[in-house]
Amino acid sequence: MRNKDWTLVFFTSLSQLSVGVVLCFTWLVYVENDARFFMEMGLSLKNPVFLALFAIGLATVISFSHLGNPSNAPKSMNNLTESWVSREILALAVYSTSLLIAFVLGWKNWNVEYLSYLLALSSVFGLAFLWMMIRIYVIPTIPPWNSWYTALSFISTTVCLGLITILFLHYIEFANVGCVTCYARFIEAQTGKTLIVSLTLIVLIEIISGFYRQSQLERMNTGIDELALNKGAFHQVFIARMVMLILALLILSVFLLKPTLLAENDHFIWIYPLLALLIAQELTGRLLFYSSYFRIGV
Amino acid sequence: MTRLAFYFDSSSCSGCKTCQMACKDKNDLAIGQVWRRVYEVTGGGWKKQGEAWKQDVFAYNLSMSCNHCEDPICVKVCPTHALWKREDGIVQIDQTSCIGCKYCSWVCPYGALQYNPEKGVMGKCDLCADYIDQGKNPSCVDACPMRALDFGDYQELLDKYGASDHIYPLPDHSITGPSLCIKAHPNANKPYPEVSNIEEVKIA
Repeated sequence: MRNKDWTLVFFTSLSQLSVGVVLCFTWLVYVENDARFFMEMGLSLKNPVFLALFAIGLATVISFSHLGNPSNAPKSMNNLTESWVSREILALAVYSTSLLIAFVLGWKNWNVEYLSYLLALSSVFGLAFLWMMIRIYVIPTIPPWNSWYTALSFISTTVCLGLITILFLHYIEFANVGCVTCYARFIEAQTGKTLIVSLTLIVLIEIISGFYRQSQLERMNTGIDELALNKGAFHQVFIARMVMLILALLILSVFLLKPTLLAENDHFIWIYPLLALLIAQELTGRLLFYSSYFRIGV
Repeated sequence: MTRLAFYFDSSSCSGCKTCQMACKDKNDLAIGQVWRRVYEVTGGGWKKQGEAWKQDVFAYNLSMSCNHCEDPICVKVCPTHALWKREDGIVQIDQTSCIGCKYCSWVCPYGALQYNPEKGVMGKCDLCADYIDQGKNPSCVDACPMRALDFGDYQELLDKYGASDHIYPLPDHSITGPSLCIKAHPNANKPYPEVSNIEEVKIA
């Protein structure tokens, strides 16, 4: 791990959380027509649109600390014809602007009928932004990143963080009004089930691809850098991430198989460790991604 | 169209690192900045055959800087266009436009781009473009006591030396098309070579 790469861990994770929240919320708005009226739409982190805007804003601020000379940042869109970094920054600007407009419309209750269209547009810009972020890391001279895993990793982080955040926001709404029964009903309802099943599938995909990826890295010739990716700190962090994912999978299994039992016994506080585990494992996964860097040549 | 390039004779290089020092001196580089590096490649060992010990130990050196590639990956990825290519093929950096994102240093397979923490920008070999514009040679070429380095048009160097081998630990030249002609050391084709001064070249 080189110095200052922590900023990239947080920049990419927060950006992907933002896009994931927008994608999941847009999906909810289209599946459940009253979703936007149920969710908080004001100036609060309980508002999914504001949360996504806050996350992308924070990610942007953090990204500046990665730069050695941030005063030149306005020039970073000079190479749109060739550089994926330039394109990513343009996509980030467009995505953030569309999200800001969607937030203001919802917050001020202006032209609310257009909100769902604007959310759909933000989702499209968010997906474009995610694609640019993936392309930055698919580089022929960096074998561990130049693979399908980079795309799968970034997409699964986006969906995983988006799903758990939306699930958590639903929980907060129910907890605020003290309606445990409502929560049980939500978990049993089609939307709740779909959210949990999707999250379970994503966690399963992350476990399977994580183990597969590790076995791939162990077989790679790391050239003159002579990195050891199958022992030492790298391997221990990988094992820690897998343990977190398996624990999250166990909690999700209880949600899936015994939702009523959990709600009736007031045990739905399990959403907190689930949220903490999933955020921690995503940050760990991104740390492992950057730590796996080596390039061909000298 | 001119395509300026370096020539390096690995069979003549003694590994004295005068080229490295000449580059540091000319460009006034601080500790940790080495735009030309000398890699020491070693391999082989001793084996007992009957009552005798036989050795197949070998070593050679490789002096490497920016290769001013024909298809420079650093120029492609730079978001600010701080990296650009002159008409004579020299890849240059405009430090007043660099944001110090270090993306170019991630991708260059020759380790040519180096971050200057004091200035917050990247730096690299520019083939002593100012000297070339004055009709002089790059400082490393003139400094080499073994005359293992030369520079000139890529095609003319190929015609003059007839060399284009790309030896360990260099990557496949088809990736970026380096403007580099190498005369390989006779030991460069031996099995299991490794860079023995890796800490020196990475931290120097």
